[in-house]
Amino acid sequence: MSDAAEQNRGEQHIEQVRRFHASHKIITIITQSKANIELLVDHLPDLFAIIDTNGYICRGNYRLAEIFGLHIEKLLGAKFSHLFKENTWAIFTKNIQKLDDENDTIEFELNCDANPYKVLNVNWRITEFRANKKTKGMYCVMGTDLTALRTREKELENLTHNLQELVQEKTADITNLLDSIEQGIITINPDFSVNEAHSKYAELIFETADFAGKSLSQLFQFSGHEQTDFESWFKMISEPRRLKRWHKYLSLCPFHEKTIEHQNKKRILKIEYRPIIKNGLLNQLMIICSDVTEKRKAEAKLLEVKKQNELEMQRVLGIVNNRQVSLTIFFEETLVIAKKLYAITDLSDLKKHTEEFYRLAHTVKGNAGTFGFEELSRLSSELEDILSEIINNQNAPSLIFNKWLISLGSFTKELRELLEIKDKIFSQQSQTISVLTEEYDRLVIDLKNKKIQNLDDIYTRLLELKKQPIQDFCQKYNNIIKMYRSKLKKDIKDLVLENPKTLVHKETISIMDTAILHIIRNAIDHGIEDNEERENQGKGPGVITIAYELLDHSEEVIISDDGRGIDAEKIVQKAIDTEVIDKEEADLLSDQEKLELVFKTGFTTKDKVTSISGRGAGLGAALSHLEKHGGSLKLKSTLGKGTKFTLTLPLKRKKP
Amino acid sequence: MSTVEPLKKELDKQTLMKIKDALLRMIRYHSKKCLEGYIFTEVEEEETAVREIPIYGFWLSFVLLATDYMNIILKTHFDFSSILPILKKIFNTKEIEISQQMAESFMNEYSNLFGTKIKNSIYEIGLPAGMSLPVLTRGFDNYLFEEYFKSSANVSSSRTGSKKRETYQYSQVWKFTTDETTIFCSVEIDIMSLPAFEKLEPLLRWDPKKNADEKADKMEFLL
Repeated sequence: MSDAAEQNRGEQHIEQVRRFHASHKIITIITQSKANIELLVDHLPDLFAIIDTNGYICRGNYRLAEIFGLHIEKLLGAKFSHLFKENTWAIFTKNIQKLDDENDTIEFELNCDANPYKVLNVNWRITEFRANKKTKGMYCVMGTDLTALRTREKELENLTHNLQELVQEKTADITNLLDSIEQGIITINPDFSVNEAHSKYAELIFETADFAGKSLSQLFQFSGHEQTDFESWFKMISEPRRLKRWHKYLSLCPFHEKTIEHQNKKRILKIEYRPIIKNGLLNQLMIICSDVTEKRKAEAKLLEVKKQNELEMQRVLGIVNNRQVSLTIFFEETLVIAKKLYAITDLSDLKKHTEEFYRLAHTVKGNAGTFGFEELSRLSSELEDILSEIINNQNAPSLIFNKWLISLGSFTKELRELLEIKDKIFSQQSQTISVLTEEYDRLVIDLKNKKIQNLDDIYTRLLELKKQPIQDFCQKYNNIIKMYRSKLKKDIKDLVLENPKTLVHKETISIMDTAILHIIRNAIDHGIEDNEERENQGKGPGVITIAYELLDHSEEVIISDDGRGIDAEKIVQKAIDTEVIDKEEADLLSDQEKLELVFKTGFTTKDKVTSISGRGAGLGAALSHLEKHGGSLKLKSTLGKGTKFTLTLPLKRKKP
Repeated sequence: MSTVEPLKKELDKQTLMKIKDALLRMIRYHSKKCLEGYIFTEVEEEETAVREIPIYGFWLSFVLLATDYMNIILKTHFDFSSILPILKKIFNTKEIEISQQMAESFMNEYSNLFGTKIKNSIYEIGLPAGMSLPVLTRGFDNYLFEEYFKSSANVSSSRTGSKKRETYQYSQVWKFTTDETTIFCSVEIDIMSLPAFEKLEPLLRWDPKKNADEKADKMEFLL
């Protein structure tokens, strides 16, 4: 080779080296970049492969190799179909065939099921791979392993299924439980419609099995205003701020008990309510109904028995707590009155005796109350009411006579009951008189010493023996004070007796008894002020005093109280208002006469009639009774200081 | 630069095939000798049929040789796992201590040495050739990105511009087996001009024994 040729060849070589140098750098950079990408693909968490049309793997990654159970280097050239069973692979290739110009990517889920012990749920995304002309028709396959996801979904599905079963089971348990409870449970919506869900017992109570769509009004047979009341309450408690104080507003519900009727069979339902709250709002209202019909019947019966027992006890106590003598007088007088009342046969006859009967009924009422016979007192008051009705309305219908007869029947029945008890209690006791031993001894000594010589004196002294200390008679008056002071909540001391040992003939007390009762009752009801009023006036507890004085020709019982006294002008005005007197007459009256207007029948200063006093029959009747025996009744009163009644009876009685 | 002329005018087909075979023989000779030189053991060489998918290993180390009218791509295909036995010998260490990087380094070095030997042989017959540094890439690139390889190889002949050229392509795959290790080698030869083949005629007289005595200092590396 010549030098020139050698030089030429050397130059060519240098030129080639230069060109290679440049191109090689580019190749190195590209190769390095590509290697980085390859590395990323190798470690993709998804399955990655490039396969040719025959299913040979030309490129795979670690995840794919792991599934194949091969080293990644051995993956190349392996058949991708080895991941699948034959029929599954057919599905895979069929899906691939869907790739065309319009669909350059397809996506589907298909299991890798070649290994029966490790079936994978894979979501495949397949794209046609076009690296160059030669590689056209190859496929880039990307598979996301959804096994864990599907397993969790399956687990979740199973869990949901199990939960549903559990819920159904528990629901069945609860339903069974609810059905076995003797309570009708329903729920209503805010529009008052009833929901289908209900307890078995509800069907029995409401006699229907079809609750859906029914209104609450239908079920509870609400009347128009009842429905309005309930709806108003429901709307009120539906407000969230009130819902928070449910228990407070529950008490305002108009129906805690309701009577419904099906085919003439009445049921009393006790109703309870429970709010069903959702997101802080009243979603539904649970209504729990218990049939308390039998319970209420039993309660009513029990109440009746209890009332009868109490009545019986009252009767017995009334008889036991009072002296036999007083009781005998009371029953004798009451029987006489009852006979008079029974003698009336029609309304016109009754009308003729209204005024008289009114006083009699009033007397019995007072006396019965005094002895503690409250039922008899009540029935007397009932008779009094009827008579009052007749007095106020002369054109009373004949129906009122029937009412009279019924009340009179009850009155006499009660009287008979009392008499029977009295007879039972006292039948064993002989008729005896109580005599003070010292009086009796003195009489004997006087007779022995012949200090008493004529029969008149002996008679007088024997009559004296029948006298007893006034305190023996006054126990019942004290009972009245005790009874009414607690009723009226007035602070009143026990009855004060001046000289309690003073001997009094029982006949005297017997005649004055009605008057004393009225006066004491009036003193408690009208005379003694309310506690607050007395306190403002600097007064202590009220005091009612009884004193007895034996005069030359008469004997006096003085009843006084330290109450508000009687306002004469008020008495006059009231008397004018109630037409007891007219204005002209009133102007002519002295102060004392004005006070004594209270003895007029029909007069009362009370606007309201009470069971204690107030009809205006009392003092008039008392005075009338005293006057029959030649007695009198006087009164003195000082405003703010009190009132004093003086009952006088002549020693020589006038026979009525 | 003269245009490409039909081969029949200059060389008969038989001669052409002989030159091609001589070139391939020279290449295969160097590839075997280089490998044996590393492992000091004879390796068994075997012709391999072209696979349906020409992927012979997970990794691919290649060098480019380019003359004016001819490009040669020398490829060494291997799996890391399969070359471990010989690497053990070469590095005289335990298998577990051999890293991927060591394997790559060895294969690149082998490709470089192997390419240099061929480059020198061609140079000796009057064809100066440029050679790239070895490039390591994935084995499947051999199939998926074949065009890329070709375009890379054609850099050297870009002077021909856009003129359409008639090229003659030859390729061959062979494998070496030793100690449970298998390495595939392949070559792709693009001949774009008759003068190149004319110049390769001396290869018909190329003697491996004579070549075996060549000194290594004639090797040249591109950096």
